[in-house]
Amino acid sequence: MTHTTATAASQGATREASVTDGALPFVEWFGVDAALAGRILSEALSRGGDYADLYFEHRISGAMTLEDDRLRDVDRSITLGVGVRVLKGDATGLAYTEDLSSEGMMRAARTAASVAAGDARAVSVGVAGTPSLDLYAVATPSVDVDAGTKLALLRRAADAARAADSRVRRVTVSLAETLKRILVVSSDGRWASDVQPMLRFNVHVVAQDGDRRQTGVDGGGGRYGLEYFEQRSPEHAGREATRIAITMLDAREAPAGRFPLVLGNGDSGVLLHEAVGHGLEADFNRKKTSNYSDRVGERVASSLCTVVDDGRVPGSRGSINIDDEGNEPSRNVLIEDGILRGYMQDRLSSRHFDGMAGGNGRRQDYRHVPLPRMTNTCLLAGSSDPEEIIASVPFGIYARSFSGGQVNISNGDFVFSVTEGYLIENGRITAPVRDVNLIGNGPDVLTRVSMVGTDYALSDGRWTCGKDGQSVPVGVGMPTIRVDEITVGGSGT
Amino acid sequence: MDLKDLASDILERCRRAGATDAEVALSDGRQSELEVRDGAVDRLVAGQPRSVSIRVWQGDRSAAGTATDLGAGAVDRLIRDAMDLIPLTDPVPEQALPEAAWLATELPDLDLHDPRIEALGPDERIELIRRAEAAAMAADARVSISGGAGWSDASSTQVLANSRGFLGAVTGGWASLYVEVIANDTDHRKRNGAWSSVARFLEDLEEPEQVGERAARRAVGMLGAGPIPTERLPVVFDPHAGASLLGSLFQVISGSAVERGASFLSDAVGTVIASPLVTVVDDPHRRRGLGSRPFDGEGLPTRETVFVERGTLKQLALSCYHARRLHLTPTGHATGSGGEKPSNLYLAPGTTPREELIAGVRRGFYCESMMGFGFNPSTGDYSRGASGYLIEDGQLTRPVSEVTLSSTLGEILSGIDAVGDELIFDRSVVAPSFRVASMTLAGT
Repeated sequence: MTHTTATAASQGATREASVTDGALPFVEWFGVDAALAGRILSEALSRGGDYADLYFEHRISGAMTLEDDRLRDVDRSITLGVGVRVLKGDATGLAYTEDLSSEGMMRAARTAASVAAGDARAVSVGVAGTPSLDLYAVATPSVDVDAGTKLALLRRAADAARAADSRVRRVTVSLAETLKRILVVSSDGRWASDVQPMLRFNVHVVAQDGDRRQTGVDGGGGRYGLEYFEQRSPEHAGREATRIAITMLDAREAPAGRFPLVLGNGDSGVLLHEAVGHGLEADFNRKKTSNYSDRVGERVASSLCTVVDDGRVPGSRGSINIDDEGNEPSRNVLIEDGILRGYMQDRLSSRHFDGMAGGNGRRQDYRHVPLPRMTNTCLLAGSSDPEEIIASVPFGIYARSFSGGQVNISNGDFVFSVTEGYLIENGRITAPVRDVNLIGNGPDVLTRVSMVGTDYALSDGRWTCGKDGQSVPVGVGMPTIRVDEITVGGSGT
Repeated sequence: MDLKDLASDILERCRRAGATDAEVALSDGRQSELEVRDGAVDRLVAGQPRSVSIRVWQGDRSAAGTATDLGAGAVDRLIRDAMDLIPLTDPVPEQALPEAAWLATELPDLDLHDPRIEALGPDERIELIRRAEAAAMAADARVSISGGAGWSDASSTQVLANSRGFLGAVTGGWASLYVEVIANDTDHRKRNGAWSSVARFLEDLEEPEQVGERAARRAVGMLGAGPIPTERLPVVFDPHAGASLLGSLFQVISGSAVERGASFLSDAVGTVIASPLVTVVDDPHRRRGLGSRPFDGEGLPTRETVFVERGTLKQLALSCYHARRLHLTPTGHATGSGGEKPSNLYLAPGTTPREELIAGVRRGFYCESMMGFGFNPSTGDYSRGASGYLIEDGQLTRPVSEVTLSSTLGEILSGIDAVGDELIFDRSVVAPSFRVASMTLAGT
């Protein structure tokens, strides 16, 4: 699971998209073709909108939870709907419906049309499938595999977690899977579809020793089928969850105040997501509400930092063959050697910013508008030996796993919560520390990055990003780095 | 077909498919959003979301599913998929439907739906939003950018039915008016201030001008904010920031955490967990309450629950599953998907006026908002980002940001030494202002 984004970006082979792929349920069951789509789009532009698109979505989801060796919860769900969107200048109108009859869709189009107030525009729709990437090499989507096979994987993880230590009190293992088919048809002639698999595996362990309790969590996934478990066994996730819970039983209070911080590789990329990623989403910069607004070309990080958002990392949770506006994802260089280079764009913002690359228009589902969103946000490898990075710190914090983060776009303050962290004393990792929040200011913290490791790793897909009430799956990645100073929110003074 | 008739019909289809027991939840609603920036419409969203969820049993085994298509074909497919999954599952007797005797029989009308909200025309909505945005932009010369002002509203009918005889329906709605504005600070930083008012009835929303002015005050108040030195000090919580602590408390007294042993309060019922000033109540029958509901997600009656009484933990929040696992009685807090949630949860008001909470502090911190997710239910460890104001000699003297507050939830609850006398039900989980004797603030 170790890539550098530089090589990963060139691995996406192209293929001819078949019209039947992602479009299949809509074409076969609801008779969606160029003529019908054209009529709906014409209705959508009947009040003078500049542009309209249809987003068809069919999603099969499954989940199973094994709790103390009993398969208690299992379900299978189907979501089906269409969103009709109209753009007029910087304004968006969206109406959605679960009624895919032509009358139902025409009604939605009329509602969305009302964001504009003017004369109708003519529309012509093509059905030429555009070539697209093929970033998820899934032989059999997990939703199509019999449930017994999946249950056996859950039991292997649970057994390994329990066998790893006698203080384990409770093991909960879950698997969530989706297969999403999307079709985007737009008033400028685009007809693009994709079939997007997703797998998410999770092990949750509760350990108890006397009256001390702790929780350990591990897992991962991505745009894979069950072959995911060939790279990373269920036993590994089970043992990791137990290791974290047992280690944290002995955790002591973290210090409070400003200290050097070493971030482990992989998951620590959540720092980038919060510290710079959100602030570089173009909608905030179009509205000038971000602390990065109007700063392209300025130094916002130390010269060791090059940050990319790359939607083309094969198999990664944040990767997409097409974005939710039908565009190929980009590999956006956000920060190059410390200098701010650009923002992440959707269609609306890329027109606002005069045609900078799009490809980051993402939406939770047909009920929500596309927004500029991250895909896989990564800090590229540097030249320092990870061991030397730790050895360079006389007293500080080493952070390995996290439960999440949050940022205030306007002032740049961000937090992220460490669930597995340690003290560094005299250049060595020593005692585990209790859950602690780290807080910093985006551009300020990145200028304090003084060492960047050679050990770039992508997080094992577990992150979901929330913005404006919409959740989308994302990836993060980075090598071990040293931050000279950050505020550590412990209790010890 | 009427939604209740449809629910009964689906139960019958489940029975014909071989289910020995079944439960169905239906939702049919409408939703709209309108956002204005600099006086012009920036975004409108409208839709009629609907869904059907089922759970079917064969003996002690069960499986579930959800769909957005309420048509007979889609529902039959949903039932068939779930029935196919059942043989794989293990028998879990605790997961049975509620006993018939537990089910709600009287469903009070809690006044949760205002038809005038959806009757409001687009121009009237735009006018409310424009008034709020204009008030925010005019409130202070230092407010320079609108982040957007908006209106959202939704209403829906929810039906729950099960094969043990429960059939309940509730219709409810809400509307919200919000504003975000930005004041430019030095060093590229911008200070955003946001405020929203949400209510079930139009007449209970705050005036647009008040929403705008509150957003502006929050933005301008934080101009020049920065960290202060690390120290232990008393903390006064603003009502909205303090209410999030109640959310954390609910998490650790809910069956989901306790039954897994993942709560530091697992064995604490009957013991003192907080200062004697702390009484925490859940009131599901509050008229027009944002969290009010006549029955829970499993069809059990809801009723007022005193979770903490003068510092003593009296009661856990339990779904049927967790109650059976713990050999306790369910409390009417089930979500319908296995867990628990509060209705209108509040910290009972005390006797101290808000000004005195602050006036009594020589040096402390007034916490206006928190960010991040730093709470571990197993240990109670609490550490979150915070912003607010420094208190010196009983006065708010300067804005503070980029600091964390940390302690444990147990110590925070025990350390509450004054509770404000004003409680406003402007959210479903609310608290008056209150003061904690000592927390660690990490800054410079």
